[in-house]
Amino acid sequence: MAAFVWRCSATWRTHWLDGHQTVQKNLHSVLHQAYHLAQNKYQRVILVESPTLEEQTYWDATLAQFTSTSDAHETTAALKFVELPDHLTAYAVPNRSHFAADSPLRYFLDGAQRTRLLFVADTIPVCITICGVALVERPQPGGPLVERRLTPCLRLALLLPDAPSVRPLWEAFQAEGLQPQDTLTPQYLQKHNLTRDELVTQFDLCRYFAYQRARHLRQELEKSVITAWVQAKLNGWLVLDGDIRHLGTDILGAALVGIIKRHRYPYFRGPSQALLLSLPAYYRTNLFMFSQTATHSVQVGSSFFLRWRRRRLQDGPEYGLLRIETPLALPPDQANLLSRWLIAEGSPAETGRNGNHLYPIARAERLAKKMVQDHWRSLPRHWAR
Amino acid sequence: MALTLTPEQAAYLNLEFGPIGKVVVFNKGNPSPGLAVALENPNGISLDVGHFLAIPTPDGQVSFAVTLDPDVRSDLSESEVVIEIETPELGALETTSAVGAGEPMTERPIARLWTLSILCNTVGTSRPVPFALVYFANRAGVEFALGMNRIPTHLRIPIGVVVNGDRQTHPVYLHAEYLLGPQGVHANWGGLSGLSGKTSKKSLCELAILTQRQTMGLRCALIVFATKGSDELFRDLPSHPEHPFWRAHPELQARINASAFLTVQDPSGFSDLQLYEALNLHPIPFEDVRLYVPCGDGQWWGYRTPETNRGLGTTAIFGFQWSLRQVAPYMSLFASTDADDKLRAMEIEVLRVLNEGYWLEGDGKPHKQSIHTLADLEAFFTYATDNVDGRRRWKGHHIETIARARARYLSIFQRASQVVSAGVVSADQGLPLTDLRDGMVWVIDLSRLKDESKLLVLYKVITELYDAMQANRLPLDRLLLDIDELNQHAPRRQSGALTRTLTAKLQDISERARTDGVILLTAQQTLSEVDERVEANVATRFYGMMGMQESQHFIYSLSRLEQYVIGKLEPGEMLVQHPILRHRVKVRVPRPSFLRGKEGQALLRSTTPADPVEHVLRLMAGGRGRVLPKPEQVRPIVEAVLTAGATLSDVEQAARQVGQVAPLEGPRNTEQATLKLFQKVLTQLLGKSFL
Repeated sequence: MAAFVWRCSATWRTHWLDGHQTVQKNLHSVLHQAYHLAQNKYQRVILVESPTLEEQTYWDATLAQFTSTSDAHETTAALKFVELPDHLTAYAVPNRSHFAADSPLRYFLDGAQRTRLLFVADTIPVCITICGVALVERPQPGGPLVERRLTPCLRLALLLPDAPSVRPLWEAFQAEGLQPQDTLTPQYLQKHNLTRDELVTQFDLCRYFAYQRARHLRQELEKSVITAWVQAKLNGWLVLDGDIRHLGTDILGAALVGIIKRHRYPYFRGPSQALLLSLPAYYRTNLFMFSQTATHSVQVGSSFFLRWRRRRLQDGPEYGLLRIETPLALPPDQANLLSRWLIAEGSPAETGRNGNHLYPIARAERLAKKMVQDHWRSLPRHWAR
Repeated sequence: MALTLTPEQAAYLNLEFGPIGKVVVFNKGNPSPGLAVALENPNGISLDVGHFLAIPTPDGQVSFAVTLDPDVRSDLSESEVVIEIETPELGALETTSAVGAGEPMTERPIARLWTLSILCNTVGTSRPVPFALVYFANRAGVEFALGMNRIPTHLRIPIGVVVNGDRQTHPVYLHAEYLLGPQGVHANWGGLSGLSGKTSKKSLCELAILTQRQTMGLRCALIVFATKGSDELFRDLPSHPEHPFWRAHPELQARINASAFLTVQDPSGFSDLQLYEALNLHPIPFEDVRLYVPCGDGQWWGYRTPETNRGLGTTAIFGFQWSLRQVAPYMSLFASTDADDKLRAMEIEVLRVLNEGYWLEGDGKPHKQSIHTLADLEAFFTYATDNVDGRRRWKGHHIETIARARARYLSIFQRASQVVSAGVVSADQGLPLTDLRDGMVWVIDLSRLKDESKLLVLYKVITELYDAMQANRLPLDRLLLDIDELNQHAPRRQSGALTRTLTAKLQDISERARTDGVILLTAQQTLSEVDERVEANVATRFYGMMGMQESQHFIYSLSRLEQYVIGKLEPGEMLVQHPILRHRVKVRVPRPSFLRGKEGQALLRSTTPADPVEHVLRLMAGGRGRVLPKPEQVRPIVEAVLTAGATLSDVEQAARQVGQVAPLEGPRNTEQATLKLFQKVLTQLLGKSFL
């Protein structure tokens, strides 16, 4: 018996050739049902259409998890997963223009950080980081940008691992009124299967952890600014550089747009990937829903790809390709609107940064970098050298 | 930064125009931070280099500054800014517009700045604070900024107007004591020929000096050496069509384009009439003008002669020439490079002989022979050569030396024949320098002379004037000498005795004349070609448009910005450098109030007489005070000559020769005597009797 499974809105709909229909909430449930069906020794072919990003990303992991937690490995051999070639679609953005007078994109945010190694205590790297976040406002389309400060947007932190062997150093800093930040997280400990005292003996790894901690601190700072913006209930949308999934559920329903410039994770393979990379200028893909994390079942927003500017001959396939995330469930016509507003942000143009940088965000980034740089200069000379 | 202005501060600001920007302090890498003004409304303000700004400071003072370099600050590079502004459709990066370039979604932060140079403060050493409001300086502010407030009213000489960024014109004054002494003397105009308008600007300065002389309490006279063209020769004829002179000559008024001169606005938006009003000067020609034209060698060497000027009324035009004796003291001008002591000794002897004569022996008691003409001088050399002793010497001078001196003197007189007569010259035929009086303007036309004649006139006249001023023989406090083409008359690289001698005299005047009241008003195309000692003491300099190669010469000490400004000056503009002025200021100068050479010559040509007899009579006059016959007495002779086949030019030549001969003195100077002489000359010339 064969079954056809396809995606429809927020649910999985399974049609069995015997006429039986079921509705499941996620792929895991589908596969679980398929497993039970396989127990009945039916021959099945399941066609799966999976537009959800997380399901794309974690398809293999989901499948591996399913097979590892079940003993239906024979059943999986009977399951054929076929990726349909037309589940990624390109749509032309209608009514695009050079200037969008109705654009509500009013606030732009970006952060910067600067981290360096202060000194090495035996094998333990002691780093310092300054993080800054800049929020700029454009009161009306075509107007200048002005800086807005809703909350402290600068943070300085000492970074060093916390381990029993490092305790004396910690106490020394605390005695001076400095509160260092621990660079070792439970995930790192679990991943490397080492104790704290063992980890701190690995200088390069600890330094890597420090830089990662600095990045997280910046993300936390950005989150605090965004939270303050949401609470201020200002008129207009906020555009920020990067994804919004790490912001949690506090931003659900807020007028936020996340712009992802670099595409480190290949969400698609094969023909879909080819179609994505050859997306024509001023086209967007169909909408996807995404969850906060792979394990979280609550979908927090919609996402799509947009080619917001034309590629030149010497540009790579990812030039002008943005992934847009919003914590809102966008219908297609609103997605077109948002695409039109973003296309209009192509003027004035910003130099460099692989052509995917919105000018206001680039200005915010410069502001943040300048803020960090100015405070960096205020450090003692031997610190900032 | 809001600042409550005090009345003292407000007195220097153009409050009506309002603030134009704010002070921005920035560091350009120099030890001291720079100052700049960021324009608040860059589209509505036309700032340019050399505009004067006033910045009130919190301590109640005002700082005055002048704009230097423009600058643009943006998040783009300089070239990208240019591309984006000039060709937005090409853009630094491609735009995403499907319908073409247009208004961007976000306004770029482009700040237009002007770097400032602080000139002075009202009191003390205040400096503007960051974000202080900046205003245009009003008239009082511009005066203070430039330092003109230090010039007493009665000593102000207007030389042009400065146009500030708010389109207000402000007169620029020179301090008379720093132009005419005793603090500083001399002025120099430089710039390309035809493009810089040196003659026009110099004449305005001279007009201003003469107009203000009584206010200043100075008796001044002006001598203009017109060495090039005819631009200087019509200083007595107005270019204003409404001048009373033209009302009396309506037929001539229609021929001049004076209305365009005074009322048509130039690209800067100002007419010459408006500029004259701003300077508080009347657009009138020079008064009490005399034109002196060389008339040696039997003809008039000038554009404007009594003959050509006959249709323009009673302008005082005089001819001049000198005798051998008058120019003999200046023979050093023609010293050759091979002159040795023997030749110099012979020249001294000749000079003595010219002044005192020589004794002829023979046929009884010796008698003294005077030398008046070239023929007399030749006779002297012949006498000396014929009377050598056995050692072939006459009075110790070898016969070869005598021959050298003879050849030299004869060649000199040939070379300077345009101003030196081979015959007898009466006393009234020279330049009556002792007649100079307060307010007189003498124009000496040297434009058609050869170089030797020109330099001789320059050297002789300048030397005699300088000596007269030193000895207080002239009733003048200041004597202005207008000399053009200074690089030819006092070159840096000496090319011969002619220029070397004149240069030495000009050096003397330049360095010492401050106390004697002789002021050099000189002009040239390239100051770098002028002798260092002549130009070193020039206190006031005017720079017209000149090429980059010249303006980069170290002698000007111009900054790169000033070189750029000078390269873009228009004919009516110049850069002024004066000891009192705190900054080299660009001023606009109106065109001269007298006819220029081209217009004047056109007028001269238009006044052709119908009757040649009058023309012949004027030639016969020769400026010598000869009693002329009546036209009806001369007419039959002229008609007979023409009927006999001679041409009018033959008749004119004869008339000129008559004009060269000194008239008989006293009651013997009659019409009949002149008529007889005319007939005699015609007979000699044409080989026929017309008696």
